[in-house]
Amino acid sequence: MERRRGHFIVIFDDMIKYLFTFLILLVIGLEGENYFYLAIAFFGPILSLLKYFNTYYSIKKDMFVIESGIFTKTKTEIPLSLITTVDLTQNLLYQVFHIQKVKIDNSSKSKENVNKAELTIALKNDEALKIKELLLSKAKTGQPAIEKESVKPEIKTKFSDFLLLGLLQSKLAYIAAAAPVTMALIGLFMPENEIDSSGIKATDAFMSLFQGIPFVAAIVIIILSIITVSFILSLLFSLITYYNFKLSSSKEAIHIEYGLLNKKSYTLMKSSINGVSLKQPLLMRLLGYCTIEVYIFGYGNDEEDKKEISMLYPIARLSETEALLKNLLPELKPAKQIKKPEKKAFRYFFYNFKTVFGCVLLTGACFSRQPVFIGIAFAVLGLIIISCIMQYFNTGLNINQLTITAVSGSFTKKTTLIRTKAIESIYEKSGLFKRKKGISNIGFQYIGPKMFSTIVVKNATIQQYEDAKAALTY
Amino acid sequence: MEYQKLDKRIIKSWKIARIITLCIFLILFSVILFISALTNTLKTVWFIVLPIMGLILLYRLVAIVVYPFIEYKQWRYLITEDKIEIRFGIFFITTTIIPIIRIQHITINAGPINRKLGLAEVEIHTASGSSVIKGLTKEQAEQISENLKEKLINRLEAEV
Repeated sequence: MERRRGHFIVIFDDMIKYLFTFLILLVIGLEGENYFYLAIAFFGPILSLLKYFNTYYSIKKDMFVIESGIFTKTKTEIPLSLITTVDLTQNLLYQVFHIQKVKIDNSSKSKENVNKAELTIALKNDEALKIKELLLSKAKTGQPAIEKESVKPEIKTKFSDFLLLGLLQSKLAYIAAAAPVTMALIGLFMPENEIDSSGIKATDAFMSLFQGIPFVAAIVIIILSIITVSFILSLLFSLITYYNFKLSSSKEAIHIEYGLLNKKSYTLMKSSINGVSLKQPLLMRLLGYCTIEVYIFGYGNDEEDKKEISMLYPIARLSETEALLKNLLPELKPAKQIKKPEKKAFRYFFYNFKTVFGCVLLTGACFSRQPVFIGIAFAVLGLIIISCIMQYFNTGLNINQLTITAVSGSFTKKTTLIRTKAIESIYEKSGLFKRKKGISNIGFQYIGPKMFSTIVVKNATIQQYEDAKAALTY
Repeated sequence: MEYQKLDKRIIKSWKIARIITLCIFLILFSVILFISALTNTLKTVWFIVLPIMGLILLYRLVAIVVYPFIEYKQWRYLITEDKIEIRFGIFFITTTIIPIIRIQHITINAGPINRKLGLAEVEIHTASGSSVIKGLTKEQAEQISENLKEKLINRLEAEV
């Protein structure tokens, strides 16, 4: 293929990122007739233009090549067989002009000393789809990845799924509810003369909204209002993000599409998927739902690109997860029996920095003799204790020849399934006294996105470590 | 197979490295003290700062005098036909197992202190991270590196 440029729309895509700065500088420059600010304002757009005219892509002899750079010319070549994923994304601007942003990932992203090999170009819809098919047909297996006849039926999410996702994922509810509760505690503990001496006008103005309504009822109304607003916002966010979520699979790959304002379409090669994670925030856990994510060598949840989540399914019933995974990734089956930590390991879940922090905070608050601070410190320590107890009940490990299942987390429970073949190394770490009781922390290092290359199961038994050693592929 | 211990000179290497760290800490502490005296600041919080600095100093002294011997006693490694086992730590003992088939590459490192003492370390890289065998002589490090490369080639050939 001859080298060619991507679509010119990418110039405006870059400019939109700095639009606010551009407008500020333009206004300052025009108002004061200051040519320096005007020059800086237009520096960004000119740079975007130059970057566009100096960027080419081509496909040569099983290599995908991107040439770029204004002053320093760079040529990046990725062997097609090492491409792990090809993402297609469309924001609003791209949708208007029928353009797709094509992002190509390969496995070198997971190695510390190698430059990020994540290439992005903007192409017309049909061109983008052709490139994606061409790249994926040579990726990993050399077999055509998208055979329309062998594509399994789509799994679509329903509106009720979005409703649930919005309700169950709403973190704002916790934070928003904490504020009025704290205010109420302040009101109860603070002596009247302190209220009279400062802030009385603000308090009066606020309380005038609730004239005639009892104090407790007013607080309840405020809490419910904030929770309702946060749920509505969370629901809208879920709808917009995961609108029209569709999942289909072929023998070699899984295809996912979703999004309203920012459409995403990506293909995950099954052979590159080394693990699966079932995430359950507290509310989701209570209702028996989870979010399914995958771990792919070099893709997703990188420290520098936190927006990139390798989502497999946004919300699924835990009871249906086994069937879903059996359908898509039969090698990664959730284990039926998970071995929990022993009772003697219970106290070790409290031996951590956050418990020490909570105790120090409470001690400091007691010294201050301020009821508000003491109340807050008690609440913080209470939450820490609850999280330690939940961590004990959530922790577990199962090891077999095919998969390692590790369960961890406190308020958000995380069940991680990793192919035993993908485990690079294992370690166990414990203090002298803990070791004597046969308890240790076990860590598994595996091939995955850099951020999640290690999973740790706390306070497991030494015997489980020996079992993991035996199951490891040598 | 028996676990191998490190070369005894590593105790001296650790002590020298920690003395250097202690000197840097003392210089920083002295500078803060000097600036505080000149500008008449931090006087109100010295009753907190001084004990903390004292504790850090005490910890660093223990790390120089006591820790190297404990660490040397705990440190050991084992290389078999199919895996490497490394065990280390002072109060928290970590045992790491790396299958030889997972090795991506091996590097031999020697800092200025280790070079002076005739020591080196072997760093074993996998796709997800690396592990280090410390306190080896240069000859031992090269021998282990060659040995591991040979074992890796044999394992890869056996796979094929």
